[in-house]
Amino acid sequence: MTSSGPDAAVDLIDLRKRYRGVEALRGASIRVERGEIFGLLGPNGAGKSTLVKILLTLVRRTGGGGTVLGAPLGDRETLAKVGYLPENLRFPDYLTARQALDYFGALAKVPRIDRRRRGGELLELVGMRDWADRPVRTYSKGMRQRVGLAVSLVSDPELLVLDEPTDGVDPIGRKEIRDALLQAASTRSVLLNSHLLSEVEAMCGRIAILNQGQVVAQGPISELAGDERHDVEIAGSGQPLPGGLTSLVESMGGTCAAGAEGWHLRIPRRDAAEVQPIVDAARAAGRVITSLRASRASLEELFVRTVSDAGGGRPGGVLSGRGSGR
Amino acid sequence: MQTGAILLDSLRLLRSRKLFWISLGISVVVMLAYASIGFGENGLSLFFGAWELEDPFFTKGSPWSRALYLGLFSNIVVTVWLTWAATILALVSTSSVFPDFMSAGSIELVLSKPISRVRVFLVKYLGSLLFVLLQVLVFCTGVFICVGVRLDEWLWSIFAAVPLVTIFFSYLYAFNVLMGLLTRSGLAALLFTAVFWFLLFAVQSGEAALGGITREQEVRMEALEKRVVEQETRLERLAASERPSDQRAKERVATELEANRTRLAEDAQRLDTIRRWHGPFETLMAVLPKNQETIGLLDRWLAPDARYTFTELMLGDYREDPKPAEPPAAEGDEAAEPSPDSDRERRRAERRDVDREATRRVESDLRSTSALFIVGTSLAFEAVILALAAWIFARRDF
Repeated sequence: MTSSGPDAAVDLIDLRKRYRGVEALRGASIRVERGEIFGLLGPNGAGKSTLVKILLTLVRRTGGGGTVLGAPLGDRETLAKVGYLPENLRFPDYLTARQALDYFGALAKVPRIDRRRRGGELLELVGMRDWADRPVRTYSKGMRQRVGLAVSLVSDPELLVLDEPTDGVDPIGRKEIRDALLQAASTRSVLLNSHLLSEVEAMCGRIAILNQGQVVAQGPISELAGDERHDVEIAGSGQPLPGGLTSLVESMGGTCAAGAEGWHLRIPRRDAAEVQPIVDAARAAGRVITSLRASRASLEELFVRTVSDAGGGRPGGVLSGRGSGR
Repeated sequence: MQTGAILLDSLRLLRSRKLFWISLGISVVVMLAYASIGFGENGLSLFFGAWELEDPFFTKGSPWSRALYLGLFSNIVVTVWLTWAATILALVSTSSVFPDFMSAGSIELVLSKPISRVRVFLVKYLGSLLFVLLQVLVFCTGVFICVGVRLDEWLWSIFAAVPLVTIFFSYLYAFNVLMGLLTRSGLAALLFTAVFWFLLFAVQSGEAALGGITREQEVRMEALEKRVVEQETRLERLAASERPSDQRAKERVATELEANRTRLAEDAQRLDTIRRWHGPFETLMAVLPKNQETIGLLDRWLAPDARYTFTELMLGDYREDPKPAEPPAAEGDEAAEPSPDSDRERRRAERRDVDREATRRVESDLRSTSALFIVGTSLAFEAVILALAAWIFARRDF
């Protein structure tokens, strides 16, 4: 679980939320350290958005508690130091990007002079300077998300909470948003709720996986994935391996595959030294080894396995679908 | 800073609504129509002098012209345009403000800021009232200039229409917002508000109609009681007479007296029934918003020193003696048989007098109700509705 401490940007303990008989959160605890980018994963209906919304006082919790930037959960004044980009962002379509920044900046109690200055800088950061004075209704989805990111940063927040920031955005727009986000995240804590595992893997140091309202895994991606599985993969060209060698591989729990372009072995060993006898035997048999590498289970594999092991969810759906609100 | 930002956003929202500009455009047309009415040496003119109407009363500088011009503003222009047509347009335009505001992806941005939900709700609500406030302010400025030019009188009390019409709208809009919060649909909120407005109208009209009938019945009974007393006196006089013709008159008066006494008893019973019906309506109206009475305050405040009210002008009271004297029965003429024509004429005159007196009393009743009571109780109702809506808004999960 988590440990409490004054340095945490977010420290949520045993959060519970019940919606008319449905338990959306069943004692979820997460801890986001200051300065880190933390990923929140989970299948549809896992409770990710509910957790984020409780953090932002948008949803009232049924139980549990915690702190946000050192203040008790629910403290409204702390929200001045929190930036938020909601899922399915919808700006009032009569506003321009500049007006939106000014309006939401004022709501976050940013002095006018700072709003003006930061507004210009942020529009530059998200690449929207040329569109700053056009109504939001003329923007594409990606442009709106970029303005949303700028709005979430207008108060120069210590904590940035992003709910599906690249949802519905094309690959180029996604990369632009990710670059802007990484630049903005260099000086603050970020809680990223995303169903795009590759995005989380590329950006986050630590993650939590939520399933059926509970945190089923939490920690650095490297550790979580490391706990799962390490393989050594060997590939070579030429004829298939002799039968004795494939038997040896299989006796170690590995798999062999052969095709027109060569052969491929996957042996479940953490250390490459453990597979040296196989390498030696292959070379002795006159085979050319083209590659040898240690591989780790991907975040996707980790996610699928974790959610499946927890006995719920629909991991396949998560990878192609979107996190629901509750 | 935060309040200012929400109000500024409300202004931007209103400016983006086509109906705001359509409504403002119609206001300008109505204002021009009002401005086109003028008064000359021989009478009044319409459409900037295009159509002249000779009338000895409605000439430049006459008290009747003043009453007519101001009465047209408070009784027709404000009542018909600002409190009906413009209010409907305003409701159509603002009905979706809260449902749109509460839609997913929109409300989260506001409520995740360091500002209390109740404050967001109330400022957003007040911001929506700007739709009407600005319209009426522009309109009243135009009317103020019209009155200044036409009557040579700079009447600042015209601007009383700004808070009054805004308050009138707010009674309905508070309910609209509550329905919007509950249904999350602008259209549903609009329909519920229309039903609420209709019910208010029905209760107010019912109360006003029953109040009017009560007053009319009271006046009629007073007239009847007066006639009964006269007939009793006349009968006593006739009883002392020995003349045979007086005996016939005595029988006739006695018959009439008996009939009038029966009518009086029936009327008393009827009055009692009407009052029983009127009671619940009065109680309801004490609690519900008083739309019509709120707007009626304008008429009261606009020209408190006016020699004639608009109602008197409409009744034509300025053209004749409001209380034509009844020809007194000549001494020693008690036995004279009244001709059918004169009797019919007398009864018609009596009916007219009863109607006028009843109308005056109803108007007097309205004027005697304090503005504090009218606006205070209405705003109390609105406050309850708003408190309920604010409570729902503050506790809801978004």
